[in-house]
Amino acid sequence: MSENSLFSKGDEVSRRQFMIGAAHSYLGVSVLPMLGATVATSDTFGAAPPMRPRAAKSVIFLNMSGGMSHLDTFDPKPENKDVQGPTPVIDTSAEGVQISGFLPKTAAMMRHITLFRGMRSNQGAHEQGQYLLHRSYAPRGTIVHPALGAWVMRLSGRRNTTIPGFVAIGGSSENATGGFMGARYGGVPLGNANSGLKDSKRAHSVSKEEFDRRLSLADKMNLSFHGRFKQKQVKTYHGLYDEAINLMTSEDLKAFDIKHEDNNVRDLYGQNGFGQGCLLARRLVEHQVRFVEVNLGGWDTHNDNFVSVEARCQILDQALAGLISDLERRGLLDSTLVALGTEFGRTPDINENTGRDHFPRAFSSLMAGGGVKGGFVYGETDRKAHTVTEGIVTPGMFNATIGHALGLPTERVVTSPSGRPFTIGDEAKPVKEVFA
Amino acid sequence: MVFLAVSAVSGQSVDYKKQIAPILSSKCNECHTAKKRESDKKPKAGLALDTAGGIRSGGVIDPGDASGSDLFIRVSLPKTDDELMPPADDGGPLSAKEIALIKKWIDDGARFGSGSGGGVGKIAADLDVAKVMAMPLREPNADGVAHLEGLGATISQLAVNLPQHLVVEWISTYHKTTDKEIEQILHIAPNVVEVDLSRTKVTDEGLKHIGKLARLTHLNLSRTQITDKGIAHLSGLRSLEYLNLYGTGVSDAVLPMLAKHRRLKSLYTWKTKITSEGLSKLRKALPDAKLVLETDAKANRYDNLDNPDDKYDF
Amino acid sequence: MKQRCILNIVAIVFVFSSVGSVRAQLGLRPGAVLPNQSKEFQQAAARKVDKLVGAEFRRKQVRPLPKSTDAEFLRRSYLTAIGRIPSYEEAVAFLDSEEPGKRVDLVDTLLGSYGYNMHMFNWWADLLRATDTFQNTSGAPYIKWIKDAIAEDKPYNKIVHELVAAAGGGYQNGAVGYYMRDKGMLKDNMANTTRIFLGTRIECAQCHNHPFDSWKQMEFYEMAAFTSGMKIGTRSSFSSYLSDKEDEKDMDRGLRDVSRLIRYAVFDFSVADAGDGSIHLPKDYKYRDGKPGERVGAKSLAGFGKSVRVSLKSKSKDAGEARQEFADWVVSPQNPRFTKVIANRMWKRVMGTGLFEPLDNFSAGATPSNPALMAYLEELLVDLNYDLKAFQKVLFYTYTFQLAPSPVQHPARSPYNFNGRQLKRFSAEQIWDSLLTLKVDKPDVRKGNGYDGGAIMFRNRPVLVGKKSMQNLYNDVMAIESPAAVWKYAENLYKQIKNDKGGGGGGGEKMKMMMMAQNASKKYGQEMRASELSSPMANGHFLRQFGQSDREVIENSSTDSDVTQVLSILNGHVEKNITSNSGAKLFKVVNAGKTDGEKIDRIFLSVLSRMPSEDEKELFLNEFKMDRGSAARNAVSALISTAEFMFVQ
Repeated sequence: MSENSLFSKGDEVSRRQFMIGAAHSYLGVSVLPMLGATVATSDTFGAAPPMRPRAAKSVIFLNMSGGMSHLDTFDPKPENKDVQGPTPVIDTSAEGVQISGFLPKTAAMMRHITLFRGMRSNQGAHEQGQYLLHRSYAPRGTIVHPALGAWVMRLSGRRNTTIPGFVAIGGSSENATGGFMGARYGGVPLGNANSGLKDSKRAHSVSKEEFDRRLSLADKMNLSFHGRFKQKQVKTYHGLYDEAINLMTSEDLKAFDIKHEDNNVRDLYGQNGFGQGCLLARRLVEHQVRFVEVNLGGWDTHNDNFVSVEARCQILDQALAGLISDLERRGLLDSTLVALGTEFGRTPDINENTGRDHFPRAFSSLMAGGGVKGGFVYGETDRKAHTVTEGIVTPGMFNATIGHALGLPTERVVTSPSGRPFTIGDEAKPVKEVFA
Repeated sequence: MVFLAVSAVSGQSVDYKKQIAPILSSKCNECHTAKKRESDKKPKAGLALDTAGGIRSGGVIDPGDASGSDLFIRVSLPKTDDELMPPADDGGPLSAKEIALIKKWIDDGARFGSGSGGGVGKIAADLDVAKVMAMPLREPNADGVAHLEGLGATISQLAVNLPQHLVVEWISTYHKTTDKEIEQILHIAPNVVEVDLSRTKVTDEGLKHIGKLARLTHLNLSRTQITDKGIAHLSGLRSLEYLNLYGTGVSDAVLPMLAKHRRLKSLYTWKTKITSEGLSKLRKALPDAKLVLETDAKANRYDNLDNPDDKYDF
Repeated sequence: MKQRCILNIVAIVFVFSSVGSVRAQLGLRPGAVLPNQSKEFQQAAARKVDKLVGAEFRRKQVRPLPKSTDAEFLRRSYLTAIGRIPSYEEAVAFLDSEEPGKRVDLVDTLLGSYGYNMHMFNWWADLLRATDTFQNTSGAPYIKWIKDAIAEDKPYNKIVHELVAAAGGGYQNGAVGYYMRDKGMLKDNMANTTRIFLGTRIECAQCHNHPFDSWKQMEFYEMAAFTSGMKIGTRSSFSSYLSDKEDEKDMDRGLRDVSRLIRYAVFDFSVADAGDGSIHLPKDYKYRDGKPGERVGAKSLAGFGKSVRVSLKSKSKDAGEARQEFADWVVSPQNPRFTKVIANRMWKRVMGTGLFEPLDNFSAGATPSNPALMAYLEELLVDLNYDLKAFQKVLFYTYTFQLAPSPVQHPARSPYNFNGRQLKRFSAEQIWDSLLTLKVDKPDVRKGNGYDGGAIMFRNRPVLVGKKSMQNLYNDVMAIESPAAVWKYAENLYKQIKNDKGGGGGGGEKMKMMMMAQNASKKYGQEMRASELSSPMANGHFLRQFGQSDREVIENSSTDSDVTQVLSILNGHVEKNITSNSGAKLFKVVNAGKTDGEKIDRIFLSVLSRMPSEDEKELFLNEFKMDRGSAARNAVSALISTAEFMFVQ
């Protein structure tokens, strides 16, 4: 031990970093045993057990990027036409809960949904708001915070170890970042629902036989090199080839191919990018993928808010209701948390372009399944949807609540390689009231 | 210091029960225990070192590589290091011999069972649900767990502080899982509370084995070939709360059988021969259960029969 | 007996020379101008480095590894110096040469080539987090400034001084990108400055006294005061005038974009006001050495040479002077960290492992693994006038660099004695550039990124090439005295752009500029070195997949491997661009082989930079016998799939 202290005497940061098994390797490769993301030990033994029984097993996070108007979706103010504008309001399957008339199918599903009407953020620009939404922290120049999916990977690991545990469909690939935790905890970004898992099939230019011959040649080539360098990093690198072959022949690979779905199921979600993304998310969850994000953009309605929001809502309504009902009839809704978030809401005041501008002060989000109450509303805004009067929920709290739904230790501190402490919700506590 | 002691333990293999468990139990389990001490108290750092499951899922061992395993790293730090476990003011550090044993045990693969893998023995031919119920709920048979994992099962604890309650799934191996593999679940029969057989090749015959898992509360049989006959084998499962039959060949004939599962809370019957009329009858027997037949795709009408009056339609 | 044997070996390998500086050995009087670019000096310095490494071997009784083979040295030198494997021709030229001094010659050639600049750019870009875009505007001037600095071998201390003291417009002085980069986050920028150049991490102290190191929150704020109040952007009234005009109803979208271009690139991309060297403590300040919200003057960190400070009372100081003094302090040779940090970085870059790590967190009380060597390297760098290329050249000349690769994986975070280079997976850029070497004839041709010749980029394409550059535009706009006149200028410029019919024949230089400008705008290029592509490439691109830094955080690249990378080799990028690409340069080389045996030799030399062993030859001859049609492809794929290909030895 004296040698160790000679090298970095009193260097507590690096000591800690070493202990934590920091994301960055110090020397050479630290080869990852598995694809995508996982905790070292859970590779061998499957995911870490949840902190409480019957916690949700997977999350489908629906990212409404651009800033979804709360008034025109989940927090309408029919009694106040000044702020409500022309958006209609309807009853839902949950008594006493009304939402926007643009979302009739979602209204039918309300018995499964908890609405958060007291969302509040301190970031009024898209990039910063999306950053906070996904990572619970505001952007800083000295660190890249991991996305929520990476936190889930870090705190609980993969359930299905042959395929990635964290997948992001559409939207910015930044939403799949492992941040300071490193690429191993990051997600696999898919451009869209049809793109499949990149490079997971043998190229057309190679026959099966050729493919096998190449591998066998490489194996033989490796013998002498491996003999000379009996190193873990070399051995593990080679092991990745076996794993790649496993993946290529895995049954689970089918999960990535939505063409296996009947047309009526595809219709159920809506034949558009977001709808099919939600369908893919359901397939992935059926194959025990932990965290799937699906992006729906176009909410930045500075102009013609009511026309634009209605169009967005058609897509959202079909997909969200389709997703919830499909999960339910398959018996997956209890073990799958569907969470919908956005970076901020929009101004109650309607601007001169019949639009609404950014409004982080009060907005809405929701959760369904995964053990949350159905037909429940948490939080409230004033009569103008302008200020949260009860049940403020910050993005950090929202993320901690998602963590809690999964049974993750939300207080667990993960130390960055630079020795700084972080938690899944920036120390925020989960909103436990929303759980049944 | 540690390295001198290694020679003292080199050679013969280290036995978890005889050599490792006693160290952990005397030096670590005061804090790192799965047993609830006070109400709702969790083990320190969420890490329980008194059960195989706790150690394995705690993220502290990398079998085959002690130097990359926190369990070894933390106990082998110098006395002055504040990361040392057990803490210097709380019984630490361990003796050099103890540290060396832990190192060797991890380097050898961190095996919990009795070693050779032949430890599972035979499943008693006369095992039945009553016998399983009578078995005490103890820590699961490590050899049985390893054996089942070897057959492609994923086995996990129900929760951090419930090491005796096991969830058994066939993730990514479902397509090659048959009654033969499923039968082996009986090695850990008293511990199994959840089983996911969805998409496996389980048959009605295979459900005989499942029918012996007395403490089973959750059973997923979706998208398997099972029929009414198979369900008959489940009659002894009095604790069953969740049963997923979606995409199977069952019909209304099973409903009278299911009515006897008084604890049933959720039943899924989409894409089966079960009818809405049949379910209405079952509702009388199980008024509080959620009985899901279909959520109408077109109208998105919610046809869940759990609360017929509340049906929502457009 | 055994011990003596080891000592003998050390004595043979590491030439003993008398203690004393190189200066003394060369018989130079103190103060004399050093012929530091002379090979004689540099080689003598290399011997001295070897002696200091050898002393450590003796002390630890380490048996030195043998000298690397020519093939190992060849591949290692190429990858380390210019970031790619040697081409077939380059490999053959070196391996066949019987010149006794061929290793030294190779080093000289490599460090003198443009490939060196390219590889060095990746290093700088990771360190400085140099990206192509800063929020709204192009970061091209900053990238160009860095590339120019590399090209002219600008001394490191000068580079750092220019960055830290940077002022003016981006198209006047690209170095202001250093601050543009962190617009709105100047405190973070200060933490980064301290971390990059002084190997000291103070960012924790931004919110509280540092828990592990001795830094206090007060000290952080005193440091931050040097840049506090610094204004990024100039003539904000002009800018808001333009912004209002853009929002007018029915505004022509093209004109709006021209106006935006002027705002972003001229007014916003600028460091104007340098601040007064003071800062307010946070409102929740909780330590006894200051009051919440109190204004404090700038003061440099204690223990880093002669301190500089700004008194709150003195009004005499020019705005900006404080930052100049701060820059002086950072690069001062009396600052004990400045030289140490960069010497260690360069050592790691060449030797693979630092004398201390992490590179940017040298806490009080830490000791380098070889203190005497560290001290000498610092002295050497000063002697070389902070010429990083010359410094690296010395390290390449050493025997230490030439040792065979270490067969043992050295445990992380413990001192290394440099007995053989540690195996290390290629960086993302090394992989990309090596594959490029297999694909194209001249991998080191410079094109694209940052070398747009200052073309005006309008909607992602170069306009008015050869007629008006961004520099012209900047000068024009800054000479205009009213916002309305700037708007007029924008209208006029938009007209010119609309009427611009492109290059129009113009001739060689103009066409070249045009091409470079177009390359610079390409989001995705397949046939350029990593340093010429976007910085960084988009997430999901091959480079990012293999661990290229996002350049959001200092040195954020990774050599972790995962299955997606292997899939990309087996089925994706590599299969498409190399293995099944019959037009790839590699296959032209292979097809020129007359016999199967010769073809196999050529494949090995191209991919692994060595000849096959007898066993290997036989293995592949069999493959050729089995299926001559696809044997070469299969062989190439197999070799690229080996660990030998992927690891720098």
